[in-house]
Amino acid sequence: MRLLAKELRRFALRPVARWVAAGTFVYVVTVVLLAAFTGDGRPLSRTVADGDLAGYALVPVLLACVAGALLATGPNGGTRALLTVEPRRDRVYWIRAAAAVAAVLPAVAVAYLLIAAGLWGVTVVAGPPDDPGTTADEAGLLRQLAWSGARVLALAVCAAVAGSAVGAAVGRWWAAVPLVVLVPVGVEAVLAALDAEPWSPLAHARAWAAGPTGADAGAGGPVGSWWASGLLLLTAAAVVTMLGMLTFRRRELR
Amino acid sequence: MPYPVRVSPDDRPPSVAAAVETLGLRKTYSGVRGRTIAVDRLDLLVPARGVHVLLGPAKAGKSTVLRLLLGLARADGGAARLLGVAVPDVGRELAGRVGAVVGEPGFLDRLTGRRNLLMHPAATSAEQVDLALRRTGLADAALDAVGTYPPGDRRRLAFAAALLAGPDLLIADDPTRGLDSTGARQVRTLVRKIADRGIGVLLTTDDLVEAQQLADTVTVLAGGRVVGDGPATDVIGDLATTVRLRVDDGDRAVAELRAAKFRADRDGDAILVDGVEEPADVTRALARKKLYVTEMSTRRESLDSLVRRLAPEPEPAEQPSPRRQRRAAFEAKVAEKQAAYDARAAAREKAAAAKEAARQDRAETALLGRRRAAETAGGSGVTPTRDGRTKNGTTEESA
Repeated sequence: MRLLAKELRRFALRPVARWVAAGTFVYVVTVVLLAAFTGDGRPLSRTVADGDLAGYALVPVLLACVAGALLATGPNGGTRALLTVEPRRDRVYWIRAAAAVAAVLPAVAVAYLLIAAGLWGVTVVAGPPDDPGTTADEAGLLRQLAWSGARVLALAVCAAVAGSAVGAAVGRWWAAVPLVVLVPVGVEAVLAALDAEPWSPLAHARAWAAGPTGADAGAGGPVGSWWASGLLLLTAAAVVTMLGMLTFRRRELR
Repeated sequence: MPYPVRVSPDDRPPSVAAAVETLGLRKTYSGVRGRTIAVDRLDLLVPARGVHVLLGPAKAGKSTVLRLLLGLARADGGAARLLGVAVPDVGRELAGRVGAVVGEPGFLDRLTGRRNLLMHPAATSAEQVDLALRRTGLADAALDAVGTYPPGDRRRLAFAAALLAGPDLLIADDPTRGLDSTGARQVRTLVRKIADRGIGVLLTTDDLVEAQQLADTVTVLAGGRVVGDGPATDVIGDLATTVRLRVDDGDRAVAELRAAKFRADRDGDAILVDGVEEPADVTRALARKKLYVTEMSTRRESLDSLVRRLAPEPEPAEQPSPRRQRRAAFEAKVAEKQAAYDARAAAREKAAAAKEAARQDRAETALLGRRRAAETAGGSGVTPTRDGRTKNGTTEESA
């Protein structure tokens, strides 16, 4: 626990962590402003039920992946210092993965809540006066929000662990960050060219975040049921994590 | 215990007197220029107390050895023990027992030295951090931002971080590299103080004087191999230098220096004084006797000459030019063809000789047959022909 806390403190003090947090905040503000000026006047309960709110939270999830990679790469000499205190590489790897999860979970939760609150505010100000989500059915809306938020947080955990795996395997932040951003984009482009959307990680992430009532999910969706998408993403994260650990075990540190 | 002691890779009880033991440690790097042997079958023994220096020129494999011991790199072969624990596959046994100053320590420049140490993974309390800062002489600079530290203080802060857990062994990779003379002196003094507190110190350097100042025991590396090891005074000598000087009255100067317990001898019209710790002592001793030095130079052994002395290099073979190589290949081919031709000629001659021998045998046999036939004809009236046939058409053999 002590090493985990140290890793978190070190990460919090790094300027790059603040840049990631600032980027997330700017994104949240942008989403809310766009909803305010270009929204279609849908009630918040409809936005949640359609999975649009969770879809907005996918960008913070991607930033969680970037944060995981940055935490695992650490400043120069950070891994070396950690290994002199804890020589077991597997433990160092899992400490960093846990630190990545602990670092991104509150940030993604806050981002999700801010988006939800912003959209709720937009609905209150400019939405229909009889919106059941904001007036009559608050308990139902909160349950929907909680369930959607839990799925987004689960996705953020997978993203952070996978990002830290890539960071631990590569070892340099300037290599890991482009990797976790550009590889998914490249995979999407290739799959789109091959007309193989059922294998698209982004589509699966969207289906998982939207949940059982989402517009993209359900048995008739392009990628199958939402829980199958979740299972697929979990398997992919596990594979990336194992590969990262095996690489980190063998990697030579300068 | 003779030095060095070979380590056996089996599970014998670890030596408590050794901080580091390696046997046949080997490490190669692959690159675009092929494989490079960084460490070649290294047998090393580092005592648990005192300062042990890995001394060698650049690319001798010193830093690689430390990285192998710390588990930062993986050896291709051989075995190593750190404080009696086989590395790199260690458990909790080594946690906190080894401090390391290897490479960039990863301090955050805008934080104070104290804050950086508090964030170090080995730090458990503020008291421990303050103690490490005091021990490294950085208590006064503890609240300054690390970015404002001079290089020597920054290096001492790295030592403070390495000492946080109270290690039994401190490993430092070229701790005075890049420091000015003041910073280097501070770091050397610190290393000596750490060793005097009973912590074993293993450090690398390519500075012979630094090794002579600090080392209790030394291992000299060159090309990834050990070329000498043992007590420092035996292997690399001490800090004494040889002074060569000229004085107007050389004979009297030699006599006076010998009287002052210097090892002085004439060298032509100059004087050689061996084993001088401080060259100024020589001039002072002469000046007291009203003898004034007109010319003086000092000679101290360099690291290169030490390595050559310990491991004399074989005479480098002359590298033939490409043209000469092509010519040699052509001549070899011609010689090969000539040899084949000679062999064929010899075989032909041998065959001809065998044929001739067979013909002679047949001729002798025929002659013998004719004689026998003549002898027989003397009784029967048959006359043998020249080729051994009788007139009735049968040969001697078939008959």
